[in-house]
Amino acid sequence: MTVPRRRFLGSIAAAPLALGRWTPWGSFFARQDCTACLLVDWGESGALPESVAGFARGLAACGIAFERVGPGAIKPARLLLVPGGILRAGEVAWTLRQLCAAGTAVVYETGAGYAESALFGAEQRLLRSYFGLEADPPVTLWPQHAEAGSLPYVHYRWPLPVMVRDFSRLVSVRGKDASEVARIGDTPAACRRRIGRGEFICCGSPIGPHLGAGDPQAQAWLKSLLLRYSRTLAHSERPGVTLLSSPG
Amino acid sequence: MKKAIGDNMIPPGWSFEQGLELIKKAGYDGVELWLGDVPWFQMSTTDEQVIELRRKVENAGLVVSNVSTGLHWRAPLSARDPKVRAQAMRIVERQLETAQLLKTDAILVVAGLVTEEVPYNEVYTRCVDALQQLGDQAEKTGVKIGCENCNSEQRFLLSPREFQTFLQDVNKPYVGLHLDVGNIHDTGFAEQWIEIHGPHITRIHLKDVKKHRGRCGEESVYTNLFLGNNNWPAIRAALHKVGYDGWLVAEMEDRYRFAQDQQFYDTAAAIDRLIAGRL
Repeated sequence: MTVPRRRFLGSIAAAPLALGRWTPWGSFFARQDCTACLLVDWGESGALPESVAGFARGLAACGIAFERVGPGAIKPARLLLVPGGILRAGEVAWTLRQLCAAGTAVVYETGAGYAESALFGAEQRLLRSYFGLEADPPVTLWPQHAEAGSLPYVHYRWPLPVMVRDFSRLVSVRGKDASEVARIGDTPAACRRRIGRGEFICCGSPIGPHLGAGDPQAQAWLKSLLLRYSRTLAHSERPGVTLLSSPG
Repeated sequence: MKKAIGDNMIPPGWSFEQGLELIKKAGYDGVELWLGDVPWFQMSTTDEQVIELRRKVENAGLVVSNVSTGLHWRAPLSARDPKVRAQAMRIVERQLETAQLLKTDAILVVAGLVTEEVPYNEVYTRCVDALQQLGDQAEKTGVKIGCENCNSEQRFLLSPREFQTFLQDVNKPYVGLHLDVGNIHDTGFAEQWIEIHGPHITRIHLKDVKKHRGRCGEESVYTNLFLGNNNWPAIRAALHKVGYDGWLVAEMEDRYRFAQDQQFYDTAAAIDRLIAGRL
């Protein structure tokens, strides 16, 4: 299965018409500068750079053109991939939330399992206050997995039911108004929540490294995600964008 | 061919100088230095101290054959944790630096470790990425990185063709194979590895292996030269065929329980017979 790139990019062209009224990025949309797919590269501040590289490889394998930007240069996009990072301060969280509200699908993959443990508190607070999600502190899955004879797989049920290996450490994420995207055993591992006209997908188990290693099921999951947003977002131009102000 | 033995074989309680004296007396040409495995050569050992080690080696009438390390078993290049990977990279960098100071041109690296937790494809990708970076550094220093075949322990790169593909994917002239003829166990035959890898072999570790031992024949165990199942005449012929004229480095994992210095003499004599073809 391949992602129909023409359709994916074509969907982007329709976006400015609906989103152009919104500020501060309305002018971007009006000028039809909306980027189809953005990949956020945290650089030195990232917790899991390998995941960024993995998503880049995965997108390239799908034939999707994308732009790589630093966290300070995030701009409107149809699909915004934010792998292997950790939210430390409100600015990035606020930006992601605003983009979601305006219609962007944000895939946020936490790298908290591989960051300094002291940083997790901030991420936990920001996920709660900006996205209404609860995140548990990272847990180490191994060697307990082997000892208990547990399956070392994350079971994704959306957008495609696939099994992808765990990545040793898990941040369990869930939310009252969120739908479950994946779980490891009985533990929620990823969820998604509608925010305004967009969506926030939060992955607590890194999938980027598996894309980098060429895992076919991880790749199928990414393709399915790209396909979904090439379709649904093309038809999501409804009036009534909810503008948000920064919670501070 | 020249013969060497690791400084990690020096009996416990002996000083480095005493060990070098024994190595020379037993007839070796060189010594393999094990970073992190012996008290005198650690990651914290300064450049000046490393140069001092070289002086001691030279004073004993020896040279350093290569720099090895066992540190990658704890900090592999294939680790999922980027902090552990950074540590692993630093170990290789230090090996390259110390190899220059010790005036040798090869190091041994255990490239990756496949486990239940960290699967093969991940290990492969990470090792290729890491060795591409390190290969450039190696070229600058003029020191070759020899990735060791630890077939059974690493559960990685099990066949010679697989290892060849790996080296082709890394595609760096300063990254090759440090072949351990004892590590192949039931996954093949050392002589075939030699034939396939020929000019890409940086160094050779010598030990023997007894296959199918244990009550149920379920275990392979390392042993002294000529006691195991390696076909030494075939190994020698393959070395001759590919024109290998480098270091043969004894790595006896099974140590003598008593008279530990005797193992140095016995192993040197065995290597001499291997080189001379008196088998």
